[in-house]
Amino acid sequence: MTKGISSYAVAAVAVIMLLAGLGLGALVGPSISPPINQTVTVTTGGQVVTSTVTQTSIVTTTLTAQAQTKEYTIGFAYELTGAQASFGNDMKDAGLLAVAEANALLEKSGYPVRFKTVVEDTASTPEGTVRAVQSLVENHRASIIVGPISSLGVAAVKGYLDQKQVVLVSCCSTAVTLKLPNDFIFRVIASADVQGKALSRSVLAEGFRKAVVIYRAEAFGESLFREFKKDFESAGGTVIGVPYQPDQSDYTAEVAKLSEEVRRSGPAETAVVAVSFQTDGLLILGEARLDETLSNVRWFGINTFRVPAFLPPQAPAEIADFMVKVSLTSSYTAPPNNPRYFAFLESFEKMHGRKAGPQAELGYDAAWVAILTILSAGTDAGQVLRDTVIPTARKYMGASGHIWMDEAGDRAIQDYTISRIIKEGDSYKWIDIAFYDASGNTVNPLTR
Amino acid sequence: MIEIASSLVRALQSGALYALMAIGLTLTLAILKIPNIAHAEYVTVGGYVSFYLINFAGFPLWQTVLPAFIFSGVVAVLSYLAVFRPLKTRKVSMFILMVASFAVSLIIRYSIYTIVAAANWGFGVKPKVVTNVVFRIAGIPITDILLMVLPITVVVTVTLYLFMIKTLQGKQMRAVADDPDLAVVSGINVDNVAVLTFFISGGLAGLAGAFWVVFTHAHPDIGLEALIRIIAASALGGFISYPGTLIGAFIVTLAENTVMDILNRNFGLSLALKPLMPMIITIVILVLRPAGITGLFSRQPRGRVAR
Repeated sequence: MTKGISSYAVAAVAVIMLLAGLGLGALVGPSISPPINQTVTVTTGGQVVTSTVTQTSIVTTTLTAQAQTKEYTIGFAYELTGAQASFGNDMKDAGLLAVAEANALLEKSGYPVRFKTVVEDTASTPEGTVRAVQSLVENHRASIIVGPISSLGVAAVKGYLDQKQVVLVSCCSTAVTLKLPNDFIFRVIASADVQGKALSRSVLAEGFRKAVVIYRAEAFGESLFREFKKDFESAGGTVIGVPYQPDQSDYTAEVAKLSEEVRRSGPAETAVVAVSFQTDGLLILGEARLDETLSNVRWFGINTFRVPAFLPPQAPAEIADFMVKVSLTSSYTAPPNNPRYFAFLESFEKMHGRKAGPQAELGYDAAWVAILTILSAGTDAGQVLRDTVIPTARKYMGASGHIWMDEAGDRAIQDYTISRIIKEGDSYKWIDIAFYDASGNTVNPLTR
Repeated sequence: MIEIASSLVRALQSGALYALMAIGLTLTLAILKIPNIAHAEYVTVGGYVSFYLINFAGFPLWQTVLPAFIFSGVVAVLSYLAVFRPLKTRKVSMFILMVASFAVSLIIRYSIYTIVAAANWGFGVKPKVVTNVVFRIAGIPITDILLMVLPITVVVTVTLYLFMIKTLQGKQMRAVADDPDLAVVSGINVDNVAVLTFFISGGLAGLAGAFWVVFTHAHPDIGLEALIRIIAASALGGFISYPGTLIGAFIVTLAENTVMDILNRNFGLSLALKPLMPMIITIVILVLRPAGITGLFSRQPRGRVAR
């Protein structure tokens, strides 16, 4: 009898232990799972590459937090191929750094949120941007979109994103036509009205009162030209525009027209201003170097001309020599030179094994604004995110400085550094020569 | 006046390149009745052969011309053997052939995209050889590309003309163009004629691509960008005449350069509208004069290869 009771008791204890074990296993299981992986999916030129980054940091979170970890998808739509590929790849890599940093911080603090990134290539075209953004929203359920660089691309997806109520944070789009309040588009860079003034003042500061501007006939180029012209003419200057259709393979007619306008205006007192991207810029410079007039006037350009694609070994030395000959001067968003900026440069190089390109800090800040917006909102509901972006950005001190957004969701204050290309021996380098102060609309020479 | 003369010189240079590109399209259409949209991709193939040899093997431009011709010719022949020959055997309509050529075009283009991405050559990169001014006439630059392309185009056109009328293969090609069934009955191997036609056609496109890539840049879309001009030039030749195509190519570039220049100067028409010119020409020709300019000078019945 005693033996029988004992057997039942043992069986009952075994069943209870089994159930308890299963329950405990279900609770503890996730916390002793393998190291956390961050999956990055990149689509480039029709190819999908998925890579898994293993994070080796020690998990110290509580069981409850791990069990309820929420994952948000941040969609990167960047120009990985095409006219702006140099910038696009830098912006994407800077954004990936921001997400990796955020995930590491969240993991360390035990906060139950993680961010996944999906990258799509816009191919530097509006159609490519539409495809990329639609894929991010519909296939990957992205909570928020970061990118693209081009205003043309942003304009192409604006209606779609407004309708779908998905927030987009662009690093570099500057078209004034996109400066609209209460939409789902936000930009961590000032719009073209500031950039146009900076460019105008840099030309005026060199003593020119006449300018011929060759510019892309699309949202960005036209905005910039309009703002340049307004500011330049307000200072007593005269401006002639030569618009061109981007994405052509032959700009001979446009360059001939540019040359003719410069001759008519008087080459000695006229500056040429180029508002071009990488591919079209290279073709225009390549053609202009064959023109006697254009080879003997002073050239100014936007930030695009600072990318390595314009210099050897990526470009023929003849084009770089031409840039030096015409003292090509370019204005770009001034990095704040504060510890945050230098920490970004160091982290970027550590993560990607190369130096960050010009203005990559804007890609980093765009991604951080997106991350902080989701964390502040505590949801990925589009309307809530939209209302959260501006107050969040205003509290954020980024690698590119303080991002104080205006009511239209654009950065309100932006200074520019003005630099000129020089040749030293066989190498080419950009030297900073002046500083554009947006608050006073003035250019101040840099002292060294 | 100098500006107009300058635009005429530019038109001469671009026109010669478009002519080389377009003659091949006309050949395949006139002889084999294949509206081969993939023809533009042979330009890209030739461009990349030239780009590779210049940038990575240190070749001067002129030494890349023959490899570009041969490589593009081979790619064209492969596309015939793999796609067009099986379809021709089944006697499908021209519409089906055109749809198939779209597919071939996409396959070639995205293969190039894949290779360029994998090799990390970059997109929109300028070859290390650039155009240079050899001399100036009244300030108008005469470039080395113009001095190479113009004689080559003339020599190619004359050689092709002589080949078509003097050689056995040329006569066979014309016979196939006139009546493929009769050609078969006459003992002509139509398949060999088709292979030769595709090789010459693709080779000429590749030859143009070798120069075009130096004139512009290396990108998998350079052929596609030129396609509408190639079609416009071929349309002006009535899609059957290669001398007509040659003249058509120069008309297209004159319209893009000189006519646009005059319109811009006198009516303020923006140069940004320049890419519309070839499209307008194509539509006007197709609607008003499908026989192209060829019909203006001869009474030759349509469907025959003009000499």
